[in-house]
Amino acid sequence: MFGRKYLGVAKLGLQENLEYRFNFFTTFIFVLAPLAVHISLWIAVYATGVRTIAGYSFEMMMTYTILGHLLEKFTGEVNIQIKTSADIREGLISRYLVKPIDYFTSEIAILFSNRIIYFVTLIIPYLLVILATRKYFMFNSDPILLLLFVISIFMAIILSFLLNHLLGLLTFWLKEINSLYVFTQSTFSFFAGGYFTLNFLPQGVYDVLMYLPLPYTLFFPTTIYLKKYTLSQIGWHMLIAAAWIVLLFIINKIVWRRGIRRYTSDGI
Amino acid sequence: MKFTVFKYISLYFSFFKNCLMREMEFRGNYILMVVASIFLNLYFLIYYMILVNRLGNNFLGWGRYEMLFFVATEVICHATFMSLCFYNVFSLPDQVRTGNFDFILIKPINARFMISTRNINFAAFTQALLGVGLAIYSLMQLNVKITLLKVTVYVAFIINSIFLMYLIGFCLMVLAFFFTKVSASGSILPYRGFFALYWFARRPEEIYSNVVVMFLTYCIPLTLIINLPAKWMVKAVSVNTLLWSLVVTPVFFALSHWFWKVGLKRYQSASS
Repeated sequence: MFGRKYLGVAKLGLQENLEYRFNFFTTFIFVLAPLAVHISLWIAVYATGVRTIAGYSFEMMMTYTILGHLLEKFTGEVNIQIKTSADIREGLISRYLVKPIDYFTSEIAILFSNRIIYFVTLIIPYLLVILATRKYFMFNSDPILLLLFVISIFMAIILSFLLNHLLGLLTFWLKEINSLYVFTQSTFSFFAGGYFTLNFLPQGVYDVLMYLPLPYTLFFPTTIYLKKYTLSQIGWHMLIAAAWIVLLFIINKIVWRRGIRRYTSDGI
Repeated sequence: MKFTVFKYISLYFSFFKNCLMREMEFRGNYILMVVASIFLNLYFLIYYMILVNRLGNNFLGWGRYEMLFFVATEVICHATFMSLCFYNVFSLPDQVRTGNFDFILIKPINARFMISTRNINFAAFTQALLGVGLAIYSLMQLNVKITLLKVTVYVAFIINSIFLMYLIGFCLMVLAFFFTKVSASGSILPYRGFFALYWFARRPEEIYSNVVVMFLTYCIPLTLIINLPAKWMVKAVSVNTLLWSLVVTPVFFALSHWFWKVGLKRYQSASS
């Protein structure tokens, strides 16, 4: 009974997205433009005769760039921040307050139905890119690492959601949060490893960052794939990520409870 | 004729004053925007500085301070564009979709002038000052011989870049006349398209192969936006590129105007 209710929500989310197929098609052209720039940059840099940069060979860098780019699109859910914020500002969450349905849980349901759409739309363009660069793309066939890779992606999706949802909830206190959006988007991308691999950063900064949640939304899954860690290191880092998930979940719940007391249901 | 030019100049000043007053009403938001966008540039700057460092102070022929000057030029162009053009041309799709565009057409002035100049954003302009600061600092470190001619041409190039960015943005916006009916969310497509193109402009052209550079210079003039002014100051620019930059903007402007006229003919207004 409980599950079916939110399955319905997920289905609705799916249908809503399918209405904008045209948008999806064009999205992938726009998504690939930055990737093309990244790839040409690394081709040009390694063509000058550099063997490795910060421990990354050409093949590793290409794989990191393509896979990282894909994961950033696949796991990153910055839209949640805008959506949550708009739902609060425009009074849309009122309907969740009067119905026996939980806002947070339905957001999670929509999150996963969105993932299906994203997967379908993103897989084709990125497969084409991988096919075009197959000589340089590293294929990982270690079943244990691949399994851990998938688990880490799953954790990345949850972490990214929790962070963005939390920022969206700040709308209860700050009415105009959209100006922060540009800032959080670039901050997330930078510290998650979206600009370049975090191994480029000074060791001290890197060590501190790995205790924070952002690298686990992009950098960590990608580097698992690149065989950068031993199994025990992966275990340790997953423990950190799991701890962040629990912590952020609790903070989300507390902030929601505090926020809802201030909520005035504007526009109703 | 003379009178018309004066009329438009004084009109622009009124827009300017009006926007400044509006912005000063929400000072809190203004400061927040300034801080947020400074961070945005900061990441971009750190990105290049770390990259140059990792490559032993030679990123495809660009040293640390040359790269800093490149980023500074990017910040100046980007910020000026955001401040003077972005909030104008990018409002067109929404105006076309909602039919608000009618109110621009009925005003006794040139509709293109109105749509291109009405809004000025001052928060973005503050960043341009940051860019100028960075540019001066990097030039001091570089020991480049600075002459009045060099600086004048540089400023002229920057103005040219703003025009080019405006024209690219404007042409994408005019697509709204053709595609708005396709989907309501179509209004963000030209906006995303612009930034997808701009991605190519904001990197040193050395990262592309020769064919791509030719394409990005002569077909879509993207390398003229940041590469040309930056290279003029701290590196060398070929005579061909210089001459081409003189030709391209007027030609592009004429083409965009023709495109605008075609688009206008298709406008049917909405919900009225």
